[in-house]
Amino acid sequence: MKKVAEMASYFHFRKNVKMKNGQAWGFDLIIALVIFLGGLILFYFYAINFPSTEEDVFRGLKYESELVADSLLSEGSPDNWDLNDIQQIGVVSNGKINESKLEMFYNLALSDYAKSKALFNINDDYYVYFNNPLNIGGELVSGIGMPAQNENNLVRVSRVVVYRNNIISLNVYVWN
Amino acid sequence: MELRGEKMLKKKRGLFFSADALIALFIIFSVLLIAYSLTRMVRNETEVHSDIIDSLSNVKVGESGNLYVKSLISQGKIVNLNNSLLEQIGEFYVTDIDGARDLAEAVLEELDFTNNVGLWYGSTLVFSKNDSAFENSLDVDVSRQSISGIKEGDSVTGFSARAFLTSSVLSKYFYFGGYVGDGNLSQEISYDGDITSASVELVIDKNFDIYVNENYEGSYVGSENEFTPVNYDISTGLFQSGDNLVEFKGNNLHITGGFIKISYQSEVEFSQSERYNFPGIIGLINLYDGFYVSGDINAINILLHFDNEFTNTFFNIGNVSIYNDSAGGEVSLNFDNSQLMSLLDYNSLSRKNVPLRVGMENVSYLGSVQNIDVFSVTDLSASMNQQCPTCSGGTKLIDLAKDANKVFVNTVLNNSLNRVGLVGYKREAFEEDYHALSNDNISLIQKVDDWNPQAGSCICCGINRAIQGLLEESDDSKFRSMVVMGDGKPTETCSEQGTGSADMDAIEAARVACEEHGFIVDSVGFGIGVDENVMQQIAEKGCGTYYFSEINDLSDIYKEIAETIFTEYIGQTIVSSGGNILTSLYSDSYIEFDYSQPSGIGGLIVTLEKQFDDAYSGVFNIPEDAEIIEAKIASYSGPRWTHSTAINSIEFYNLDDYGKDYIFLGDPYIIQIPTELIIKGDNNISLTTATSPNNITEGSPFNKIIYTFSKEAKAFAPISLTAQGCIWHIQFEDNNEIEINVPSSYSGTINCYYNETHPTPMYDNNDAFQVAVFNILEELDFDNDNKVDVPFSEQDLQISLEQITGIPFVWSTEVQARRWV
Repeated sequence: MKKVAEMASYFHFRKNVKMKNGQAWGFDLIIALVIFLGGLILFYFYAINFPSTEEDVFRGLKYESELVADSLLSEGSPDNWDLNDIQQIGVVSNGKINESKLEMFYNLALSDYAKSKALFNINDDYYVYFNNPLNIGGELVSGIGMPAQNENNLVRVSRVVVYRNNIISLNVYVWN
Repeated sequence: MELRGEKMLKKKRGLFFSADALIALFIIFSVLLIAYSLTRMVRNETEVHSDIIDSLSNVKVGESGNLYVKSLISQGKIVNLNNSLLEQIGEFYVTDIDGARDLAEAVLEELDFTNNVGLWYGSTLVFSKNDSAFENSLDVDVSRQSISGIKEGDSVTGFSARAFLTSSVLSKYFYFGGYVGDGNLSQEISYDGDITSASVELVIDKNFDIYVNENYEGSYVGSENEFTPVNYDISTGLFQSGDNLVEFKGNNLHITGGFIKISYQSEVEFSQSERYNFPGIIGLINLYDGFYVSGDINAINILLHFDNEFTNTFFNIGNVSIYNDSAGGEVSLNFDNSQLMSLLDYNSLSRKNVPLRVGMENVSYLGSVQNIDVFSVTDLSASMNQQCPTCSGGTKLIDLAKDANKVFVNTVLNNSLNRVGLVGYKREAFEEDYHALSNDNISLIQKVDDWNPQAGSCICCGINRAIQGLLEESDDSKFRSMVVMGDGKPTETCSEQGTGSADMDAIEAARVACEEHGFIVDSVGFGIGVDENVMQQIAEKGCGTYYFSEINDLSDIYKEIAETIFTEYIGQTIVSSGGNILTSLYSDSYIEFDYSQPSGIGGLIVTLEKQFDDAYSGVFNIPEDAEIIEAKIASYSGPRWTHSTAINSIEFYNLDDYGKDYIFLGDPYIIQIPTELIIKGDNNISLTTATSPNNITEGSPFNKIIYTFSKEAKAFAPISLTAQGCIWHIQFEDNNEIEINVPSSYSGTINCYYNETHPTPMYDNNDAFQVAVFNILEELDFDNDNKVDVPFSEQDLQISLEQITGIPFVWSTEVQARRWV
């Protein structure tokens, strides 16, 4: 009898162990998901809502203005881009402003300003200003892009480039 | 145990996914943060200065739309249309710096940017647009580019210049002897040309006046001592081409070395002297000099013109008496070659420094002795009572000492101006054995006779007593010394020295005598029992000479010492004993040499002077590309004789070669260095002076080496872009500075510098004139100290220009665009 009672107790123990094993794994997984998703959500809200400092804003605008200036003073991508295959805006060929590329950039900024911003990979508004008006497609143009209006912050970056064998200043303003 | 293990396993499984989730979040955030910061960091600062360099490089002048550029092209100022703007500004930078600035301004003036930006070519700022000065910048970014130009083609003209120095300005020295006196002195000065400067450097004993060609020139102050020369510039207005007479007038003057130096412009080439000219002396003829003939002597002729009716006049060359007689008045004596050949060995005179002496025999002998005060310090210890082992008749050592002292007294007192004192020492120096300084030889000899030896030997007592006597009874106008004799070993000590050792006290007393009072202590070791070591050290510390005497030689030794002292303290100066003696040696007297002279001396003749580093030695340098012509040592030996000279440890002159009785030997002020002993580079010179073969000492720190060499003094500029010239500011080795417009027609404002304040000489290496002049200045700066070693005038520096067509040449420089905040 004693032996039968011991065997019954053994089988009861085995059953309890199996049940507790399955509950522990499931509970742990739930907690892990809560932690991970909670972390992502917190990061999202932080990124969206946390206010930037003035210096951060300035650095951001400066970064973007230099990005625009560097991009413009490159050949662009591909080298001989047009509005159909453009991946990066650049208006220089052989160290001088390529007037065809400049005109295409001008037209792009007029027709699809948002696309031009996207191609420059910036979020804020930009305006490219020349110290003397340039003749683009028969039209005297002193700047390309969105001139600043009621801006809160504005950053200017100056570069020097050759246009029609004259050395001119190219100023990039980025503002918000 | 098993149940417990199962429980632990369950707990670990429960934390597994939670930990993974935390780690995953951590990794995601880290990657985002790093990527964000890297993205921000890869951005460069604005590159406006690089843009300027790039833009200037990318525009050719022929394509430029700039109106100013076009106007330069139309004016023909820009020729090469393929030049970039950067190159064209560079070309203007080397040809016309103002043009470079104008062009840069024209092409960059309309740029509009907020940065401080400047454009430099080499070290020259060509363009800038700035709010704050570059000198105040806190942070600077630089963009560099090297540019060079090769101009070629028939229409291109380059320039090459040749700069050279002419030898039209010559320097000539007229030397005095080692001693020229005593009276009014004169020197003949001969030259052919236009004199540009004249100066004197000499040691002269008193204030003096200078007369040139019998016209008063000026009054001057004499030397502060007999070894320090004075230097004066004298007016050239009284000189004339041809023969001139420069006279030094004063109160019984003598010159112990010096020279008159003139510079003059002449077409006559450098030549070595064939004649020795005697100085003029009106007073007492007393000349110590020398000569050097730099070739093999074939013949000699002498004219000796003098006036002496009082005594014999003697004239010695080396140790050979050429003349010694009473002329009885003014005479001109000719010694022709046949006479002189019989007296002189020409071979022994060739290429040798030969002393030359002209004097008045009796006057100079009697009057030339300097006063001497000397003590004889004699050992009167008991050992002096011993019998002389080699003597007869019971003679004792003290008797020999007494005889020696008597000889000494009589010898020294040959000159009545000298004095002798006596000290005898036993266990102390008793007053009964002392005799004060006196020229009374009877009294002195009586004291010697009264001496009686007793026990004890206190050498230090004897020396101390002699010191006391010299201090109390003599003064520093006299030559003061003592002779200390000992026959054994010191036994007594002295409280003055207090070393506790009788030996050391004696040696220390001698040291005090010499070092603290300037007295010479000679010592005599007498007999075989003497402690020679102590006596030698007494002489050594007493700056004197040690003598050892055998028993029977003591009198001879004392006589020798007396004569040596007598000779040592003879100077070259005559002390006139009174009377109105007036004699003359005339400056038209000469010695003429016929000898084989080297020929073909070409190039620039450079004569330099280099002062000794100290009283014994000096160094002079011969450039590698120079040919030595001659080198001389100028010795300011004062009243002493120049005794010996050596170059690079090789002796080439020793007065003792001509004898030991210096008073009859000459004393050259100029000792010529045999050219075969001179090496390229540094040459070390040493020199001693003496009043006798046993009294050798230093010379003057103002001694100098005067050396002459020839050198090609010309330099070229490579073919250069331009040849404008500049105003050169040149510093010479003597720290004089001159400003020279090179070429002489240059009227611009560019300054070039070759001086100490510009360690890196300032000039434009694209300017042919400037490069040529710099190259020749560098050649003439032998010690590379940015000071030119060869003085010259504006007229000496000649420069010629060649225009070269069709040969490519290169200019180059570095361009820097700098941005600063």
